[in-house]
Amino acid sequence: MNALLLAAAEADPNEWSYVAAAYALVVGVILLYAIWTIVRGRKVGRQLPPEDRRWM
Amino acid sequence: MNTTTGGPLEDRETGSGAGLLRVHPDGTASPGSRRFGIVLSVSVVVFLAVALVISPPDSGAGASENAMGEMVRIMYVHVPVANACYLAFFMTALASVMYLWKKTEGWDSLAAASAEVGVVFTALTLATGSIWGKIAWGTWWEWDARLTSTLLMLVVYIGYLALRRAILDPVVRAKRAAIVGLVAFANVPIVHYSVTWWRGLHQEATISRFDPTIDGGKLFALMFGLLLGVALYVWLMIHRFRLQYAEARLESKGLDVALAERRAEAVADRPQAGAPLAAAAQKGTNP
Repeated sequence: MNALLLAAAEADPNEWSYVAAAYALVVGVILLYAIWTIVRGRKVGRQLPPEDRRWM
Repeated sequence: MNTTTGGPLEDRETGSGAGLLRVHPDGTASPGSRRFGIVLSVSVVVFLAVALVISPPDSGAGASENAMGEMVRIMYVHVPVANACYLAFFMTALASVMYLWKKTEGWDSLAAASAEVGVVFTALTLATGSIWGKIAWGTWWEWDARLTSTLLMLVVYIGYLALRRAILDPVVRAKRAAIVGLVAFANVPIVHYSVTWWRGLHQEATISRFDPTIDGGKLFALMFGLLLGVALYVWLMIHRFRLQYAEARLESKGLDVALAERRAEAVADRPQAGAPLAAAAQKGTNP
C-alpha cells in the first residue's frame, strides 16, 4: 500500500491526464454506443409485431 | 428480480417488474442479456479499479530501461479494443461466407452488426493509440505501418457500411456486402503482422506465444481487459444483431406491403384497360 501511495505521489500528473483521457474516451464511447443501440432497438421494436421479436 | 409479479416471464410479456431486471417490452433486451449486462457493468467497475489503482506503474525495480510509467495503463484498454475489432471483423467475414453459402437474412444481419461494432472498436483503437503516441513518441500521428494499416482497415469497413446504405434491393445488397466483407478481412492479418513485417515506431506484441513481456499485476490487468473486451463485444453484438434483424424484418414487411399495393393497383387497372377491347368486339371493329 505504501509503495502504491509513493508511486502515486511520484507520478507525473501530465501522464495521468493522458491516461484519464484514454479511459474516459473508451468508457464514454462504448456507453454512448450501447445507449444508442438500446434506444434505437426500442424505437424499431415498437413497429415490429411481437411474433417477429424472437428473442422475447 | 421481482418475485411477486410472476418472475421473468411476466417481465417479458408486459415489460413490468421491478429493479434492474425489468425488460422493456419493445426493446432488444431479454432477461438473459439483461443479467449479462449487469455482470458486465460490475466487471467494468472492478476492471477500472484494477487497471487504474491496483496494478503498479511500469517503473518499479524490475522494469526495463524503456519503462512506460503510468502510460502502461493505456495498454489495458488499447490492446483489448484492438483485439475486439479483430474479433468483430472476423465475425463479419465468417457471417459473409455463411451468407454466400446459405443465403439467409440472419447471416447478413450478423455481418452488418459485427462490422458496425468493429468500426467503433477500431476508432477507439486509433484514438487510444494516438494518445499513447503523444507521450511515448511525442506525436499524435505517425505514418507507421501499424497505424496506417489500421486506418486503412477503418476506412474499408466504413466503406462496407456505406455500401450497405447505398443499395436498396436487400438481396443485391446482402450479396455485394458479403463479398466486400470477405475481401476486407484480408487487411486484418496485415494489420496484426505489420509490426513484424515492417519495423516502425509501434512496439511488437506484448503478449504472444505465451511469452509475455509484462508480468504480475500488469499482466493480470491486461488479461482482465482482454476478457472484458470480448465480453463487451458479445453484449453489444446481442443488441446490435437484434436491432439489425428487426430493421431487416421491417424493411421486408415494407416491401411486402408495397408489392401488395402495386398488385392491387394492377388488378384495379385491368378492367379499365380491357374496356375499349370489349367495346370494339361488340361493334365488330378494331379498337
